[in-house]
Amino acid sequence: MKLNVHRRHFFYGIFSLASACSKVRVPSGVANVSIVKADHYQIDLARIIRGILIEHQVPVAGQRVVLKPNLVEFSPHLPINTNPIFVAAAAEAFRSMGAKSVTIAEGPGHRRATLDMAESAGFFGVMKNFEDNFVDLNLDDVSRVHFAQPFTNLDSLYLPHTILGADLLVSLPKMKTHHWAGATLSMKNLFGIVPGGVYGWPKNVLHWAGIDKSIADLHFAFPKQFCLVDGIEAMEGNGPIQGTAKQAGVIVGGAHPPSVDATCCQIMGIDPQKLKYLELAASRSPLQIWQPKQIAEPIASVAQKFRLHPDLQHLRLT
Amino acid sequence: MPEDQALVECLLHAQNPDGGWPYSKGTSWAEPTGFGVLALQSEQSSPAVAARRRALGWLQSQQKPSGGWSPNQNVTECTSATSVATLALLSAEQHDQSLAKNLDLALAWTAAQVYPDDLSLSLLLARALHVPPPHAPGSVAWYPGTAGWVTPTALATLVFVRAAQQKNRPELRNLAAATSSYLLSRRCTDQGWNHGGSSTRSEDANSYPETTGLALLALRAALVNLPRESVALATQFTANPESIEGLSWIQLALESPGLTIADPPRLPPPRTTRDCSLRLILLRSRANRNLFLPEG
Repeated sequence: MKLNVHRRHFFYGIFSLASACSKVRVPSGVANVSIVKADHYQIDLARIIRGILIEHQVPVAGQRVVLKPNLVEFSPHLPINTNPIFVAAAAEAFRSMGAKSVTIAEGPGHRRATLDMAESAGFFGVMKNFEDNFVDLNLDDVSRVHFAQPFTNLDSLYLPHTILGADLLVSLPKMKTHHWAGATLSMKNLFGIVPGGVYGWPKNVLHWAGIDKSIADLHFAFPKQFCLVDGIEAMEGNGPIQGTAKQAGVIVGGAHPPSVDATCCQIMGIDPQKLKYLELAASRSPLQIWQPKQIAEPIASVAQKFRLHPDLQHLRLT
Repeated sequence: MPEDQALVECLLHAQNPDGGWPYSKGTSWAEPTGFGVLALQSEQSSPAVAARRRALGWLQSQQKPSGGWSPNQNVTECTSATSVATLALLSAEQHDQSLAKNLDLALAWTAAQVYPDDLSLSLLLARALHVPPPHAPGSVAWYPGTAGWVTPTALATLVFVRAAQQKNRPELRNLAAATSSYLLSRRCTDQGWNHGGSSTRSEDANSYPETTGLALLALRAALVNLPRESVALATQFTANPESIEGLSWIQLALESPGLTIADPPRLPPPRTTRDCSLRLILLRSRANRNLFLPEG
C-alpha cells in the first residue's frame, strides 16, 4: 500500500505538470455529459446509473472504486447531503459491473461526528453494513501530495490514503447553489477529501488559499474521476446549508468534472463562464468545457431557474 | 460489563504497538493519544497504567523541537493538536517532573498561536468595514497561519487555565482572558457556538452541541460567567446531542458535584477512540474531579 501511494504521488505530479503544459493548447474536443430525468428516489436508480456508466464506457471491472458523496450537516429534512438512496444505487451499479471494491468515503468540513451525521442522514437505514464500507476521510492516514503547477500558493496538500489508493474516484455531489462559489457540484465536492485531522474543521487552508483556485487544484490532482450529480432533489437560495429544496428531477453524469459542472450550471440557470473555478479549469483543460456533448436529455428539457443569493445575481444565465 | 470498563477495554484494545492511538484504525495521531492519556489518568489497573505510560512516551517522542506536535507522524507541520497533547502532559507532570521541559516548550508554542490584538492594517480595515478580521484577536487556528476558530481556541484556553494554576504562570491567565473574549464574540444568534464562521451570508447559522459544550467548558474554566441563554441552549441540546462528543462536552461544561446532566434516552455510541476517551473522562469526572477545571 505504501509503495502504491508513492507511485501515485509521482503520477499525480507528472499529471499536474502535463496539465499545466496544456495551458497553451487550444481545446480540441468536448466531453460527453449525460442528463437523465429522475423525478424521485423511488425509481430504479441503479439501472439509470449503470446505463450512464455503460454509455461513457467507464472501465469498472476489477477497479477499486471510491464513492465520494457530499455529507455536510445533521439535517434529514433539507437536501444538504447527497441522498443515501442515490449513493446506495451508485454502489450497487459499480458492484454489478464488477468493481473489485466499492468504498464510500467523505470528510465533512464543519462537523466532526461523521458517522453520526451519516446515520442521521439515513445512510445506516439504506445501506447494509454501511460502517464496514465507509471511511471518514478526516481521520484516515495521510501522505503529502505535491502539485506541480498549482493555481494556489499551496505547493502540496496532505491527502487520505483511501483516496490516493483508488483506481477511480467518483464524485457524488448534491446539486446546490453556494453562497461563495456560486454552485457546489462535482469539483467543489472534492473539498471533502482534504483531511480535517490535519487542517481542521473547517479546512480553512483551502479558503485561505482561495476557494476557486483550491477547487481547480484539487480537480487537476485527480485525473481519473467520474461524476454523478444528485439533482433529483436539489438546493437553491442560500446554499450550501441554509438554502431551500428545489425539485430539479435530474441526474447529470460524466467523466470530465468541469464539463459536468458547466452543464449543471446551465440547468440551474447559472452562467458557468462566470464561475471562477470553472474558468480556471477551462484555462488548462484539453477539452472545451462550455458546450459539452449532451447525451439523453437536452438541457432545455430540465433547466430551471434556481434562486440565487441576492449578492450573486450577476451569475444569472441570460 | 459496566460502561466505564467497556470504554477502558476499548482504549486498551485500540492502542497501537508504538503507544499512540489512531482515531479508529491506522497510524497514531496526537489528538486521540492525548485524550487517551487524559481518559486513563485515574485508572489503577496494570494494563491501563502501562498503556498510559506508553502513550506518554509516544507523545514525548513525537514532540517537535519547536514545542508543538504535528497531528500525525506523516505530517510535518505542528497544529492545534498540540493543545490536547499539552493537556495530557500537564495531567502527567504532577507525577513526573521530567516532563517539565517538554511542557515549557509546549506552552511557549501554544501561547504563540494566539492572534494578538495588534494594530495591523488588516485588523483596522476589518474594524472599519465591520467584517470579521482574518486573524481575530484572541483566536487560535487549527492550522498555523489560517483563521482562528472556536474549537482550537477553546482547547488552548483549557491549556492556559490549567498551566497557569499548576505551573504558577499568571501571565497565561491573560491569554485565557483574550481567548475567552474571542469565544464570547463568536456566539451564533441562538447564543450557542458553531465552528466559528463568519456571519456574512450565514446570519442565521445554527450552533452545534459539541462546539457549544466545549466553548462553555473553556469559559467556565477561565472563570467567565456563563451566558444564561447559552447554558439554556446547551441543556436543550442534551435531549438530542447528535454525538457522544457533543453530549460529553456539554456534561463536562455544566455538571458539578451534586448536579448531573442526564443522558438522553438513546445514548449516541462512541465512534472513535477519541469518543471513548471523552465519555470516560466525563464518567470519571463524576467520581473524581473535572480535570479541565481549575482546582479549588
